[in-house]
This record gives sequence, structure tokens and C-alpha cells, in this order.
Amino acid sequence: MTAALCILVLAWLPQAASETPLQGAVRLTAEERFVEALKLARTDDDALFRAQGELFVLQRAGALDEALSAGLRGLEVAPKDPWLLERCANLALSLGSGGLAQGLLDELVQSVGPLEQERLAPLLTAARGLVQGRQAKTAALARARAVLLGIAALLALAALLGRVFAGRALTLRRQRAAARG
Amino acid sequence: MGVGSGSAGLLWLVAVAGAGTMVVELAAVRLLAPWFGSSQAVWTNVIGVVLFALALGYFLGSKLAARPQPLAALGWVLAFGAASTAWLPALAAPVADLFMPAGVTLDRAAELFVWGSLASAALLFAPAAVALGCVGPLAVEIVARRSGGHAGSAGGKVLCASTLGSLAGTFGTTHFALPGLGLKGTFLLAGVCLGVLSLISFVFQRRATWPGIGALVCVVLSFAAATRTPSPTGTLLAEVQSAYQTVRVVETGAGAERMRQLQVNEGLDSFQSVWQPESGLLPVGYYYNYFCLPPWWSGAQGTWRVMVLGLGAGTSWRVLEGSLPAGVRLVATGAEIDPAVIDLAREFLELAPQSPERQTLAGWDARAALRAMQGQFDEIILDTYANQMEMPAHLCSVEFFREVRGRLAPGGWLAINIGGFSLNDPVVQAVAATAATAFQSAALCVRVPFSRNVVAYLKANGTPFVPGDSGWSLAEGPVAKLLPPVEISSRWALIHPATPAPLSDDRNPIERLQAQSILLAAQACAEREER
Repeated sequence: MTAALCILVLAWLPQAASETPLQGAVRLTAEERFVEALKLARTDDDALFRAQGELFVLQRAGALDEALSAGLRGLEVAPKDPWLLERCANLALSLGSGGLAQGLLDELVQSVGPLEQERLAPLLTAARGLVQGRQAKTAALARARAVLLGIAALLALAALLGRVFAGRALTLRRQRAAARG
Repeated sequence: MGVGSGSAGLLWLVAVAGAGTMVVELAAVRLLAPWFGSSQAVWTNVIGVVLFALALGYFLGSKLAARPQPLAALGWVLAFGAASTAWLPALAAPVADLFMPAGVTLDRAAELFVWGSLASAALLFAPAAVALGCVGPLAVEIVARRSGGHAGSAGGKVLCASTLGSLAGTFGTTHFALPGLGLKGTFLLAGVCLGVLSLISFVFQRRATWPGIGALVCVVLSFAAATRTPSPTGTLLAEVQSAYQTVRVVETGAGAERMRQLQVNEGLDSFQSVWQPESGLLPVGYYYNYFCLPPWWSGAQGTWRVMVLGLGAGTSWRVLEGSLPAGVRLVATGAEIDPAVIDLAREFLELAPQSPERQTLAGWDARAALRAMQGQFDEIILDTYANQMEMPAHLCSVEFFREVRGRLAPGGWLAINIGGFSLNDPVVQAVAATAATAFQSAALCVRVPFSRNVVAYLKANGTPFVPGDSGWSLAEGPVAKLLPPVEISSRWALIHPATPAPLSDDRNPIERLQAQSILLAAQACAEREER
């Protein structure tokens, strides 16, 4: 029993020693030790790996908005990184940011083969759906404002015409009265 | 008050028109609710439109009254009012769809709630309200001409009849027509009454009755017109009109993945309660799971007494039932203001029947229920929402939280579900600081992973555990896995008491804060889009 434990520890030691912060963060995340994982990921000297690690931990912990922010920071350093592009696109979709997701996916699609493009197609469709939804919302808002403005204009016109006709009728009555008198 | 020369009949007519006006005004919000909800902003828009249209109607009526045949004009406006009222349920969907497209999420719909509901109300309800507004001045003119008396005397009689009619319409719509006849039936009843009056007025004048008959035909045709509400995502199992809202049960998934949601009014991407075949923790992303932590933190033994304010369909009970420490018995009470929700929950979401261990207070306001209950509780869960996202003002004031604290057993917990987009969200900050002020200790707020909810914890005596405290971590149990994701420093915060408390019974800007919260979230989303 003791021998088996020693072998296990010996096997683990070199692995742990050679582990990069990113690898460590992934391992700790799998163990649901998110705080330690995030702390470790942030120690990575490489800005890209640091962003990847942060994104991975935060996304697994359900902190989607923070994960996306971390990913976008990473894309400033490595704008073509396919892993970050896809993860950020997924996060943007989850957060309802269709335009952002579409932009990221468009960039990603340019750099991958046809098979990958096929795999990404449903994501692109979802992103376009969100963009269309946003456009529909903007159009609905404009429609509502236009309808209200139209009603206000109609009322103003009716009031103006009413005044004009009332004035004319008064003048007519006066003229008739003067003609009779 | 002498009422002669056939004026009594006319005053009855005025009273019915007054009742019709209130039907339009009160049921109008219910008609728009599946798209825009029934928030304060929507009510304000509908009342504003109806009042403006009535003012227009009074003005137009005054012009028509100056003509030689005011009784004929009265018949015409009643005929128009009848037709435009009866067709409202059928026209609601096409009009509202113009201003609230399908698939808009809650955080993006804020502006549409305001502008869309205003435009819809103007297009839908203004015509009927203008017509009904004409009735008063015309009736005053007719009464004055017939009695040959003073305008003030005629006006007083007409106003009296109109107001009494409005009174009957107010109570009748809310308590009898809407629950008994439903929305379509209510508008149709109003249309039929106005159409019959129009016909009578033409018969009485011995004039051609075709406008009145035309109005009635139009009303009858509206019976056949289809009405609809926005389509839900999933299978619609049931939909009812309660005294408070439109409530529906929608099912998604299959087998073990099967879930049912209870949605109200505008729905959007939100739900009021959720059900899965097995009791216990729900999948990640559901805030109900986080109501199960206090019994584990407290090391509960024996009985865990819980009161849920805003029971809905009893999701909190079901989640707690399956995730309490071994050997702990749940004794639960729940208050739900809408009895229709309880009825649907019993039929579709396995809400436990009434028993000493599961006590349901159906039709009770949470604050009144809290006062009425005897004994103390180990945990009070506050999950009271109106119109999807509005915490009622009287259920988030410092006075209310003091009452809650008074009902907690020593060491007892208050857990509050707060809809908020971050820990800095104005609603989260205000509600948590108010509760902290009442409890005289800090509130622990955690952002529920994969959701836009924050759960605030307060303890009757002392401050809740925070990540890093020895009492925070749970070595065992199904709820232990809930803790690690919220231990990240940006996912939790202690919110301290504030002087004065941000929200009180006297001054409670919660609605403004909720509007701010949604606008801030929309801004954040727009900023991401602009990247």
C-alpha cells in the first residue's frame, strides 16, 4: 500500500514540476478549484496563454461576461488565435452579442478548412439570427417612435385646420351679418 | 334631481358608456401584457393614452353637440365605440408584433416596453376611447335641450351617471368579467352592450337603424376573429387568464431532460417557476439551487422550517426537498399572490397538496402572509417578482426586512433572489444594502453562475460566511459543488448597511433602479457589439 502510494507520488512529481501555468489551471479547473486555477493562470508570462487560461477557468465557473473580457484581451495580443476566436464567439452568443460573435466567426472561418467551416456553420447561423433580432428590435423602436410622431403630427394638423376653418366660418358669418345689416 | 323627458334612459346609456371606458382602460393592459408586460411604465402609457383620447373625445363631442341632431351623433359614436372595442382582442397581436418582434431578450426589450407599449396603446385603444369620450358632451347637450334647464344641472346628472357606470365597470372588469369571461369575452361584452345602445338610440329617434345594426354585425364578426399571444419556445401545456396576469405552462426537452416552466405575461426569455421530474438541485444556472446552502451552513438537524415569499409553482420547495442534509425534515410554508399559479402548479408542476408540512397561502400578499404566520423560521426565501423583473416596492423596504428579521429563529437566514446583471447593479446594491441595514450586518451577495441572478444571504445574528471562512466550505452533500464557482473574488461581495437605507416604505425608487439596471445591461451589450 505504502509502496503504491510512493510510486503514485513519484509519478506525479515530475509532471507537476513541468506543468505550465496554463496546464495547471486546466487541471485545477477540472478539480473545481477555480480560485487557485485563476490565480495560477494569471501568473503565465505569455499574454496569450494567460488569456486562454483565464477564459477557460472563468467560463467553466459560469462567469461568462468576465470570461469574454479575458478572451477579448487575448485577441488583442493574438487576433488570429483560433481557440480564442471560437471560445469568444461562443461566449458572445451566450451573452446575446450576435454582432460580436459574427465578427469573430467571420475571422475564424477565413483561417480554417472546409470541414471546420461546416462545423462552424450553425454558430454563424445563430450569430446572424441574433444580429437580425437586434435589427428587428431597432426597427420596431423606430416604428413605434414614427407612429407616435405621426399621430402627434395628425393631431397638430387637425388643430390647425380646425382653427383655419373656424376663422373662415367666423369671417363668413360676419360678412353675412354685415350684408344683412 | 329630476330626471324626466326620457332622460333616465339616456343616463343609463351614459352609465354603460362609462363602464365601457373602464373596461377598455383596465383590460387594455392585460391585452398588451403578453408582449410588454404590465409594469408601471405600461400602465402609465395605457392610462395616459386613454386619458388623452378621452380629452379628444370630450372636445370632439362638444363640437358634435353644437349640431342640430346630437342624438344621431350619439348613435354614431356608440356604434363606432362598439366596433372598435369588440375588435381589440383580434387586433392586439398584429399591432403589438409591429413593436415587439419575437426573440428579443429581457435586457434588450427595455426601450420597447416603453415606446412599443405607448405606440400599441395609441393605435389600439385611442379610437374606442375617443368615441366613448364623445358620449358625455353629447348626453349633456341632449339632457339640457330636453329639460330646458341649466347646463350645470344637465352636466351634473351626466357626470354622476358616467362616474357610477365607470365604478361598476372598474369592479366588474377586475372581479367578474376578466376571470369569468376572459379577455376576449370581456371586450366582446362591452362591444355588444355599446352596439345594442347604439341600435336603441337609432330606434328611439325613428331614424334609419343601419349604423347600429352595422356595429352589432361588426361586433358579432369579431367573435370569429382569431386572437393569439406570442408563441412560446416549447410545448404549451396550459394557459389561463388570472386576476393578475396571463399565466402559462410550457414544456421543453424529453425524458430526464424534460423541464416545465411557468411563464407570466411577456415571458421573453424568463420564467417564474421551473420543474424537472426529480426533486433536488436543478441544472447549473438556476438560482433556486442557492437557496439550499443555509441548512448546510447551519448544520441543520431535525426540522428545517422554511417560508417562501413568492412561492410561484413551488420550485424552491422541490429543490430543497431533494437537497437537505440526511435526516432533516422540511416543514415549508409558501405565499403566492396569484391563486391561478397554485392551481396550475398542482396540475402540472407537482406542487405538494396542503398539509401540516406543506402550507400554501394562495392569494396572499407576501408581507401580509408574513405577518399572519405564527412561529419562527430557520430560513425565509424572498423570491417575489411582479411583471418578470419588478420587485414590489413594499417587499424590499427596510421596514419589510425588519419584519422578516423578526420572524427568523436565532441563527436563521434570509435568502433573496435579486435580478441583476452584476454585483454593482443598482438594484442589487440597493436591495442588499437595505436588507443589511435592517439586519444590522452585511449581506453576502453571490452571482449565480450562468445566469443574471444574484442571491443575497443575511443572517439573523451575525454575518454570513464568506469564501475563506472556516464555515464556508462544505465537505459533503449535493450542494458542496455550488460553492467553488462563486468563490472567485469577482463573483461575490459583502454589501454593508447604509444610512439612511436606500429603500423604505416612504421613499422607494426601486422601479427607477430597475429601469437603470436594464439600461446599463443594454449599454454593456452594445459596447461589446461595437468592438
